[in-house]
Amino acid sequence: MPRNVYFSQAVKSEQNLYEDLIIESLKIFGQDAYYLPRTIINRDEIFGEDSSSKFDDAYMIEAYIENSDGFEGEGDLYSKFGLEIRDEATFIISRRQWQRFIGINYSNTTYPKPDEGDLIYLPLSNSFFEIKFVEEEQPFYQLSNLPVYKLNCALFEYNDEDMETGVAAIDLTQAKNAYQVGLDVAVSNGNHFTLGEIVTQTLLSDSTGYVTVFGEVQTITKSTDNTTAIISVSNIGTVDTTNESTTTDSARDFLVSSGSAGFSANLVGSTSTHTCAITNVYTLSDDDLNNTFASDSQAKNVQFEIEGDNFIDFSESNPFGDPSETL
Amino acid sequence: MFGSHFYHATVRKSVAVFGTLFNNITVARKKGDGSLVNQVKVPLAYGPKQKFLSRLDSDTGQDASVAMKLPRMAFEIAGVDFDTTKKLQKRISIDEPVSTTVATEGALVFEEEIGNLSLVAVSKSSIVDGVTPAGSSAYTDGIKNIFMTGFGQISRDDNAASANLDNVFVVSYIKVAVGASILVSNNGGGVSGSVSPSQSTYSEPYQISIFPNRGLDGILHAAANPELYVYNIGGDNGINLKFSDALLINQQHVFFVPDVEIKWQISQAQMDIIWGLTANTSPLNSTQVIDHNIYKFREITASTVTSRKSIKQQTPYNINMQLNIMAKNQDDGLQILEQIIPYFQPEYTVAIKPIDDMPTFKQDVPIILNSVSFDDQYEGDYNSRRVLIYTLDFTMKMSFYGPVATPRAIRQVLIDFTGNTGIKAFGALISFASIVAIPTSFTPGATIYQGSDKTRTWSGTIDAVDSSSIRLVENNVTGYTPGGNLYVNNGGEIQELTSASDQSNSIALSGDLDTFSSIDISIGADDTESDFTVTTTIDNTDF
Repeated sequence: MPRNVYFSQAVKSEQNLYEDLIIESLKIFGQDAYYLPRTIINRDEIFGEDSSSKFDDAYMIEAYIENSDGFEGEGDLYSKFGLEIRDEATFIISRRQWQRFIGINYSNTTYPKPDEGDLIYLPLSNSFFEIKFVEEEQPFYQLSNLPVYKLNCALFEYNDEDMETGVAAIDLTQAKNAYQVGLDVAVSNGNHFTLGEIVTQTLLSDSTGYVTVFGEVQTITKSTDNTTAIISVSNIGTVDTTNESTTTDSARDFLVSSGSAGFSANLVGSTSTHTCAITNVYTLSDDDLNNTFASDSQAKNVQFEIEGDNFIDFSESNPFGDPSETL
Repeated sequence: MFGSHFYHATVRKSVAVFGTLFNNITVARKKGDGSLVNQVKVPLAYGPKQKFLSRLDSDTGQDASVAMKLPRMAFEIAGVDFDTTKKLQKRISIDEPVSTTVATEGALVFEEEIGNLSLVAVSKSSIVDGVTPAGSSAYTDGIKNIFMTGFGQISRDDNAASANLDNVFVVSYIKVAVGASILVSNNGGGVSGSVSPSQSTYSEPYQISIFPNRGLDGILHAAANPELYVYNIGGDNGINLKFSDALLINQQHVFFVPDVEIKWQISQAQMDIIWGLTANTSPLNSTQVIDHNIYKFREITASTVTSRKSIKQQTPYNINMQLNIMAKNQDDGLQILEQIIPYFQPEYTVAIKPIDDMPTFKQDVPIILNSVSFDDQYEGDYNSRRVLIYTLDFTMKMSFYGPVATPRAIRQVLIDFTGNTGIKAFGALISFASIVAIPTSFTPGATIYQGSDKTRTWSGTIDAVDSSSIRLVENNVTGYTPGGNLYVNNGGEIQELTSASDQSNSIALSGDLDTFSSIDISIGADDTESDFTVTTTIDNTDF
């Protein structure tokens, strides 16, 4: 038997009023948050994952934190891997506002909506939350519509994703957390690189192709006389066109510009166009605690190297390979 | 009961060794075209630590913008158990002699001609600091050489047999004008320095000493009595010497590389030719090429063992280690896994020096990969976290060592064979027919002989003397002339026991061996019985 036709819950004007009230409530009781859509770089269809994601947009939106007493989840935990913060939060955002400010920028989706895997950056607590699940049906069709998204989120596990949003607080997170390699560079005429620019070193360029190593400058420590600097470079990548038959290029490291075999390629900045010679590349063997694994104070790789050097016998090489040289 | 404190930090070393194996693993992420967009070294830590330190090491509160950073690795000790497959004999001890090596500098032994020294003297006016002078072709063999600008340079052409020698040359004995500065730089390492002599005359050569990793020792020494100078250069980075102004070489030079104990020597005459100089004249200004042979000398060294260190207790133990890899993506975790597994077949052996006090004692530590497992919690509702952990179980075959003892070296062992009666009766006995007056030099320990002092027909050592007999230490009668004269040379004074005074003498082997009941052994006061082994060999020719 059909329902009573004289009572309708789907009056458009009432729906709009209801949604307006919700948005106004969110603006009053919510928090400013940034919505960071995930850009999938290289989806692995075998393992079903994308390890190279990046986040290159950030849109501000008002979001209501449902848990008023604090973040949910298990909180700070100590495991063998060190400190792990398992904060969780539920954000409520307006469906209309999301479409207006964020969804409108989605060009390749017919019905854009918040996606699992996207990030919410909450400036209030300086936290990144990854959307685990988008609950679209709560509250459940009260006026025959769904005015809000309920985003179930957990604190983001950072995996060296690239963040180029233009929002300083967000991009700073990458500078702080991404794995970085320290380089000593010689600077001429005070022409330092600029923060955030891509620097490239050409390791090989001949008729067979070219090999370049590039990275993003995250920190610059200038010497007092402005002739040298220590820079740290993150998101180090390699392009190798010399052997196109292989599906994956080999990982390469930056090289000292005046190194062996007459190698003298310098580091070139993409935006500043400055050129600097690399005088040292910090590796484990430098035993330098400040410029190796500088962004991860829980990593003790260098300390193991220093301690091991005291009593591991290197005088007899292993014919099957030395892991400290080849791993 | 055990008492004495010792601590070799065996488990700590195990942790460090294990960590060193896995501290340089890289994970790379790629784009669709195969190029790499990100490559990271995987952080590694020993899991257990004080909780407050883990908080201090981490970003917390407002600084903690992310839950954690992945991928990362952690390991911990899963257990320690006795290695029943590696039981050693209990009496096996680990010994290391402690010796003092004395290098006798200047004592050089010629070994072989190994190369050719090509020296190119160039015009002073053509010198530009740091630029190879025109007309010279040095520094081309890839072996670290001295490179001298100013008035010339030295290069070395090794023959093929010696091409693996990676040595350093330096001309170190020079004469410098007042106000001239000498810059010594170490190619790629070591210490650089610059000195300027204060002496005001060319009349004496000045010595400039260069030491490993120190560069100049800071001053120029006047050398009033030029002799053979040995300069300990060391290092493997090569050294550049640049002379900014007038200089003069005026001595024999030895270039000494300590690790291989090889010295390089160029004679005074050679150096004079090289530089075209005689004392106190101006440096060579014309272009000239002179070739000289280079000889390899080996330094004679001497060493003395002064004591030794010993460990008498050791026990083999297995230390089980568990390495955990936590990753956000399977590909990350598998990259790490794949960089580890091939090295373990199923063991990988690392040589370590387990005892800090015994640097030459090495121990091979096999590390066995027992199993690999992983935990991927991917099922469940969407709010639950996915946890991806790979676990590798290893066994390290370590040994725990007891305290290091430092027993003194045994320098003298005196063995006394004593009979029941207390009378030493081992050696032959010279008997006299009647009581005689024994000369004063015929005392125990003196050497008694027959024949002339230079040509002795028989000799023995006096063990005991009385008025009618002389007991010898040796049980030896070969060559003895019965009735012959007996002599003792006491520091040049020869005393004689003539056959006339002794009437008659005879000698007889000792037949009293059965009376030996004990052997007294005297050793150093600090030694104990367990510090040495006595082996007694009795030659049947003595009987």
